[in-house]
Amino acid sequence: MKYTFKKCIVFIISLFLTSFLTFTAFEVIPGDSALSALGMDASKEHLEEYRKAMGLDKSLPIRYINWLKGAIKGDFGYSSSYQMQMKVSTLIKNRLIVTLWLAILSFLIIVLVSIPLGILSARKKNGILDDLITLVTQIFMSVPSFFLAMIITLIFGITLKWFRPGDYISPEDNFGGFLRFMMYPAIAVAIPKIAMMVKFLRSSLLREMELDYVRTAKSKGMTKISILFGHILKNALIPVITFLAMVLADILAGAILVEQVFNLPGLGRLLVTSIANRDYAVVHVIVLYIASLVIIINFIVDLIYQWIDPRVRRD
Amino acid sequence: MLIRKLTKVLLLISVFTIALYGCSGRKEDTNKSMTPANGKLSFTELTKAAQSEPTYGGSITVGITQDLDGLDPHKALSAGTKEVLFNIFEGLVKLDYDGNLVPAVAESYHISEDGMVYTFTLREGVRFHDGSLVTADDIVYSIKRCADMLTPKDPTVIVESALSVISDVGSTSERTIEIRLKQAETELLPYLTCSIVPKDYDKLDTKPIGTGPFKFLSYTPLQSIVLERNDQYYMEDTPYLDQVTFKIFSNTDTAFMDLQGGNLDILPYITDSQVSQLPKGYHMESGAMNLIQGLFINNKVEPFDNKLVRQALCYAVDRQAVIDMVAGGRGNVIGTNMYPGFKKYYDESLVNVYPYNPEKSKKLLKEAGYPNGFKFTIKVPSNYQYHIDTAQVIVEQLKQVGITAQIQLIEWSSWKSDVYRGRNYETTLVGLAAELAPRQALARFRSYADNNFMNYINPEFDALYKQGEIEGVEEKKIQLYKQMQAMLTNDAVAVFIQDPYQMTAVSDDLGGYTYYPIYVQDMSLVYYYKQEFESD
Amino acid sequence: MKLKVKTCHFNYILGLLITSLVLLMVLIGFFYTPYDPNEMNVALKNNPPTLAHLLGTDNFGRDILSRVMKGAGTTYIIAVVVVIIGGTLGTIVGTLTGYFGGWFDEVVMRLNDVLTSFPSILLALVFVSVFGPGTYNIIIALGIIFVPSYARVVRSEFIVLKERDFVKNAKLMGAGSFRIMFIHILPNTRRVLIPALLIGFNNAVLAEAGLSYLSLGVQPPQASLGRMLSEAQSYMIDSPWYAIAPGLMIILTILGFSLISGGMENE
Repeated sequence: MKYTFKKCIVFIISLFLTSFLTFTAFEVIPGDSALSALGMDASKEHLEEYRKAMGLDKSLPIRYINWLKGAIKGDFGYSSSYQMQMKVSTLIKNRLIVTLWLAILSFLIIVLVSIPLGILSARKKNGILDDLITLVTQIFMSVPSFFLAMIITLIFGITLKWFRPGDYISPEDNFGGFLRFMMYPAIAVAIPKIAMMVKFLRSSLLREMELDYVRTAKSKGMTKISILFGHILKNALIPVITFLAMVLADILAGAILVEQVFNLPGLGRLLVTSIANRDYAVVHVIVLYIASLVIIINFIVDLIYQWIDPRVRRD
Repeated sequence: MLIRKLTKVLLLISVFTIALYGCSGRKEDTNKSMTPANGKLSFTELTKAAQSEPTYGGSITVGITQDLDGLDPHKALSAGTKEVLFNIFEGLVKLDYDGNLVPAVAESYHISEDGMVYTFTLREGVRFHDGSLVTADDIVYSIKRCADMLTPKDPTVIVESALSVISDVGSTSERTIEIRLKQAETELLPYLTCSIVPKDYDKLDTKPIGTGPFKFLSYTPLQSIVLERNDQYYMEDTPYLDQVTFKIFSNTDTAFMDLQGGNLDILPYITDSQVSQLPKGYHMESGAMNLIQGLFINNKVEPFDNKLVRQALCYAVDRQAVIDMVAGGRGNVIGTNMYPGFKKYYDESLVNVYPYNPEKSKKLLKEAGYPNGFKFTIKVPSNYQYHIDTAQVIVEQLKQVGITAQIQLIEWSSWKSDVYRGRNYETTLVGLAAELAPRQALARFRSYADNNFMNYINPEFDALYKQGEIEGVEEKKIQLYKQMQAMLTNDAVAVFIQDPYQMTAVSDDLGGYTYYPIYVQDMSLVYYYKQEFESD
Repeated sequence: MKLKVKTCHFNYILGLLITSLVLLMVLIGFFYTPYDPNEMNVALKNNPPTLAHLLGTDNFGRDILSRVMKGAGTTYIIAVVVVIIGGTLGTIVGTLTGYFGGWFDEVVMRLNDVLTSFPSILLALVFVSVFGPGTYNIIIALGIIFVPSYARVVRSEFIVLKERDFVKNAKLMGAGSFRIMFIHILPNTRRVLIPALLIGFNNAVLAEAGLSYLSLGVQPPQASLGRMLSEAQSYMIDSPWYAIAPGLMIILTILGFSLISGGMENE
């Protein structure tokens, strides 16, 4: 209980730190949101008026505190790329759905493909099949995600016409169509991770196979298959789950480039445009979202570790 | 069973291919006649319009590569947004495709002899999209809003600085509006294209209402904006289409992929390489963009504070070769800071002041004290591949005269604050987009102008500009403007490169796509041809 | 550095083969390229592979083979320096946190989390704005982005190793913390660290490509694999060779290294 409490405090402090860093990042990078909003030929007086009205003329700590006051109440302000008329929370809510679905779909693909492949590869250790699986997954791991996305578009979209590239279908209009379209970007996100996952699962399984209990089980006359599914897999999957959790965080960050290529109206694309527009209110919230996810996932990983191996719990 | 199905599919495919062949035949035709780049309404349009009749109805999807920055016309800033909003909103007057100002919400206007009072008569029966009649009050409100004359002020409204000469706006009767000025101004009319909106309407940001040929239907950020036909539009024969969807893409490449999938009917601003990759069923239409692309120089920093060095740069750049390399020859060389679209005012002869001449360039460099050349950086906004490409060609060309140029990509937002406002640069390669009035193109070169980012200081120029501001006689004004242009060219304030072509992919089923001298996607003139393959 | 490879694995040998081929090409590229990689020629725009230009030409008529050779060199230098910076700093952080643990570990690891969750584009942008754009600053930015992952790897090894007998013995013999950390424990992490460095090299190559795609990387006309690949995107349909050459080079580089690192783990 005390441990969980401590973790929560740490979580909040980490979020503070992330949000403060984001705030200062915008102080450092050149570009002026007033200029972005009013145009490069705006007169000095108008720029001043705008800054005053938006509270941009105040010093950094005061602005941060003002922002924080709102944020605690759940009010993250307005997006400056949409003339301060679009609430940041509404804007992000709709984008988040797209990115979350992308993450879920690619996560599913990773799990469904990599676990059987990993088991197969470990069982036929150093056989031709193992070598082949390793080689193929390694090749896929070597392709930059946006290049992979481009190739998928070229092959499945333009040559085979299985989907219409760039023609995003929103889930409210046609959920089936949405899922069908999302499959392709999800594959682009998943493939490099599948390769990592197979590699990880394979070595995790092999390590487990060499342990004493496996030999004991064998000597008791249990079949290979039942040992594998009855004992090894269960134990080998535990580190894999923590690894998967890390992959999930990675997917969210990696979606930025893939969303760009597939023209998905997701968080990543919004992040890129918002940084370009110096729309700090939006960037801030997206960064916080990603940060909270990463931190929460790391927290869960820690918990799982403890659950497996109580020795990890430190004083 | 399966076989029958397959044959059916095959049959369908073959019919489809035949249909496509029919289209591609037309595509070749249009390409042939496309060569003369006269801008404006191209020759193709005219022949096509003569050949086949426009039909009413139908809907199209147009690709745009920039999200809208708002729906309120007085707050929208980006050219990409204005292009779309042009279909929803109109001003008292409106620009047509020839660059002429034609009456829109106003039926006629009168300018007093001293140039101090503008009187407009409202067109009868013009309605907003919600059905209400446009009143004089709405117009007074709209102009005041643009000119920053309302109280309380809305700091997010983008104030049109040219309207600051207005001292008062008022209605003299139900249908007449009088605009009185602080001082005589002959170039105010182009700015009265400012959109007319309903008085005190507070939902412009979400449910915009205007008087234009199309009504706003819906908007989803990063996805699309949908417009529908305004049945009450005062021009009876337009618009043709029932619905227009502008689909938003993250960049030209993704938009082009969607076009290849056959989902787009019109895609403006395609690149030279995309033109050669156009799928069947589409053709390219092009017109001058009215953009001054140039290598703009900070005239204050060493070594560019020396006129000889700047002139040496001008001689060292082979502008036609640049156009050939980056745009397949599609672009017009320019020699000064004036938009060729303003034909009367533009001095075309200045193109020949600095012909490509590396020898002369070297000689000038020696004279200026740089016999072995020098090093400098070109800042280029990272989101404009076209300018990045141009810069790369120029870097190679400058090597020939011993000058080492380095490209530095800079984010657009940083460019605006650091280069344009902060004037912290040596040279920068960008395009300056067309202004509404010709004098605006020269205004930035006044020594004291806020946007004089090239730091050009010349009292003679300032004096000429002042003269031009008050000159009422058109011939004399043209003379003055040309004098100023020549001054800029002779002082080599920048290496003016070209006015690029804007190329648009248009479905072969569509006619009426029209180029304007400013950034506009006018959908009211677009129509479907009568279908020739309907019987298939 | 002696690495034991008991069974000469097919994949391992393939990896060595690919890597040496690629490295050879890059090494030659430092001294000789068939053409000047930046030389333009209108007449040769977007030409498919020919005998004169084995990999074709790009949209400026530049020789793609020469650009790939030079560009791969740039990318490799970036990746190597990034791994050196990230690896060194990460190892130091991981060593200290893993060995000492406690609140120090907690604070540093949470900072690590914060850094990991910070979008790398924003971080890269901050660096580019502070230090100006260019190859060096991309190296610094990526180097720092890479610290957390190495810190994690080294830390977890340290947590395990510090409980081992040989460490306890060293402590009993009165060795100082510094000596134990760097002389006794650190060399024992190599089994994990060396593959991690190889994978880090791969990730750096991929990251360079990603940053170039967002135009934050190497400045044109200088070639790098990432820059070439992102420039080629607009020509994918018409002139696929433009994208294939740098794309293949990236894939081969990474493939070679990951096969080698896979072979090492398999010993």
